Amino acid sequence: MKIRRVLCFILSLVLMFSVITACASSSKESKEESKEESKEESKEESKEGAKEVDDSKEDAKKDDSDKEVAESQVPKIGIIIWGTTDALGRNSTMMVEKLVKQAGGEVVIDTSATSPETQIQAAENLISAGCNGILIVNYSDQMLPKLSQICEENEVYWGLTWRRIINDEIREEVIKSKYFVGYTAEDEIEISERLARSLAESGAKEVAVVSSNVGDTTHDMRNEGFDNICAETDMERVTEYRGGRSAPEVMEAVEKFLTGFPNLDAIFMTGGTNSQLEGALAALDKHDKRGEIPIAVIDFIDADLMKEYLEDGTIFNIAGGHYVDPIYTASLVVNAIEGNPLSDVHEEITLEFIDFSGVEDAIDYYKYVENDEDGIYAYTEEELGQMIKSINPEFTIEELKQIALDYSIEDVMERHGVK
Amino acid sequence: MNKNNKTSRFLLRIIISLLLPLIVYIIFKLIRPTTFGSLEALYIIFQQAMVATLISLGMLLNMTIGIWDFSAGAIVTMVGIILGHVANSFGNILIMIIATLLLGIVVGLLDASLYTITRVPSVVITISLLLMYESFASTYKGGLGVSIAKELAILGSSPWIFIVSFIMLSVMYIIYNKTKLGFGARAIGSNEIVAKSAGFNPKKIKFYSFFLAGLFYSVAGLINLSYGTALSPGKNMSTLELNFNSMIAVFIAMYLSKQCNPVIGLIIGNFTMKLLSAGLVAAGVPGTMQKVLIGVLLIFFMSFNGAKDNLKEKQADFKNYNSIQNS
Repeated sequence: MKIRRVLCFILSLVLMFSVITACASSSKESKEESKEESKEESKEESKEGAKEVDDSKEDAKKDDSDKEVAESQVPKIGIIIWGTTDALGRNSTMMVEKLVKQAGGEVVIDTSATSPETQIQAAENLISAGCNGILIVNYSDQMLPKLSQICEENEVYWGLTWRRIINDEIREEVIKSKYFVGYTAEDEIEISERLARSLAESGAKEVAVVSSNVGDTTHDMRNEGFDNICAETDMERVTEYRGGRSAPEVMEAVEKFLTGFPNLDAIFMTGGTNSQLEGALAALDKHDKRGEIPIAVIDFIDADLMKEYLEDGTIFNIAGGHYVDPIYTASLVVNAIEGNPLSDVHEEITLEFIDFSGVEDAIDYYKYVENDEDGIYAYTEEELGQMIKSINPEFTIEELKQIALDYSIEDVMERHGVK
Repeated sequence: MNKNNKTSRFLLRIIISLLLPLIVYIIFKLIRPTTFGSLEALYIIFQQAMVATLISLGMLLNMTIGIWDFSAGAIVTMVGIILGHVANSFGNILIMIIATLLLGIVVGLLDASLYTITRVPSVVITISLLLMYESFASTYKGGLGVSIAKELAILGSSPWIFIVSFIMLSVMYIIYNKTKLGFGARAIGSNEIVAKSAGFNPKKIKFYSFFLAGLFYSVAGLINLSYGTALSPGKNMSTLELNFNSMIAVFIAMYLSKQCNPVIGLIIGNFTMKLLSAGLVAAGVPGTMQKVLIGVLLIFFMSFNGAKDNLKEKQADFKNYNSIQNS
């Protein structure tokens, strides 16, 4: 009884202190933020004052446009993402951090949201933590009007990454907001069609699919792409497994494919993160089906493992390299926050996946495009800085779109003087 | 005559116990006669049932007492992640086994102590523990997933997966049927007040039950990692899915408890669940529907067990009423 009381007392003390310290740190933060903001404002004022002496006409015009957009601020970008423990989540957020640092800002990452509703809460939390820009990997279109409303009320610029708005009504509603800067996304249907076609052309007829649960827009589109090719060719989705989150789960599923469908020709995976591809490969390995049943998959995995399985044809075709996507949306958001919006309307930035069909591609990719060991990535800090107008005043939206469009292994090698 | 009766009763019990997997097998065999249910396929399904059986073994005592444990999946994943790093650092299976037991002891002690000291309802405490373990796995050594070499994953394949499962099943069989802890757990599960008056200490029994669960989950973590050879940390309660299949198996075992020992019932339950899942895949049922059907099955067995308990209570009340009337 005594122990219980003591424990309850200690727990309540811990809770009380955590509340006090949380309040203290948030008030500290807000004080520091307001200080920074006032500094920035005074800087802006002095700048404007100096410009007034030089050219009063131009300044009058600028003042008018300044009323339209928010005043220049130090960017504090909140990222709402599924996690940062996998390679895609880790490297993409790291690249955004690098870009925002160039602008003298900071990044806050929220990985707690698991559903559209909790993503709204995450956005509210980030805004109350002082974020003036938000990047989100949204789970559904339906939460976007609410998010747009929150951002509008708080004058926070926001954009989507790896996602586009599919629902027409929602898109119409969201793009009305001047705080919505746009999105960056690959053509999910196209890449899925590309991979599925490669399987069909190799003679695959009976294909099993490993995918995410229905309702995840990205995976839904990838499924659509696969089904398009099935409709065009004599390839067929004979079975599927959805919602796996770990290697053992997917391994079990693939074992069921192998026993249930002895004539199975191939496996199509709409996503291979969270060790899912490793699970599928382990199942093929265990049942001596390496190279016999090829896998086409989106999302890269560990370099050595990928090279090994590409070599013997177990991974027939793999697409990925999309860790750069958030950089482009971040550029739109940061420039808008700094008062130098790249565009007056929302922008749609599209790029292509990098896909490997051979080991050489994989070797080059992991050497020049996503080299965690040596810290070599698609863009250097200097290149990221050039995507910010306050550093590179000549930078335009067309240039940003072109950078995204050019993204490939060859492009990175060329820019970094390897080729 | 008596011997014959006993034998026929024993056979009947075996048939009734195996009826459930048999029905599932026949249904899917009729749907996919050529591809479903070959001997080889059944062997693989049986192998797949082992990890879930190990988790169910950990749940058995707790659920018999009436304790809900939602932290099982998170413990299995967390232990797997830690063991993956241990395997990559030392490259020795023996060290992995020692680490498994140590982790099991630590986790078991932590769970048991927290539950018995705080007296917070099991649902609340195990969900809190689930969040804690998931967070730990997501931050441990940078929160990255692990993969281990095939040589270090032999416990996840035949015959080792069966040997380990057999050892753990035997341990639980003895605990459940031959020890004071097992009797106590069943007594508390039936009626805690009566169990107390019969000399059982519910607090102590709940403590040991939680502690043992930690050990069993830890072993399941080792086998789960060895089976898949790779593991990523789960988060935001994603590890709950591991719990549910094993929970249904415990319900099935309880449902079959009149016909066969619950420890054996667990194997039947888990095998049935895996058979059902394999059948749905073989029948080409859409992925979402597969989960719906599994959910429906969980509700069915939960409500069936509930209805069975209600019926028992009413029968007891009726008997009491009759005896009072007669006297």
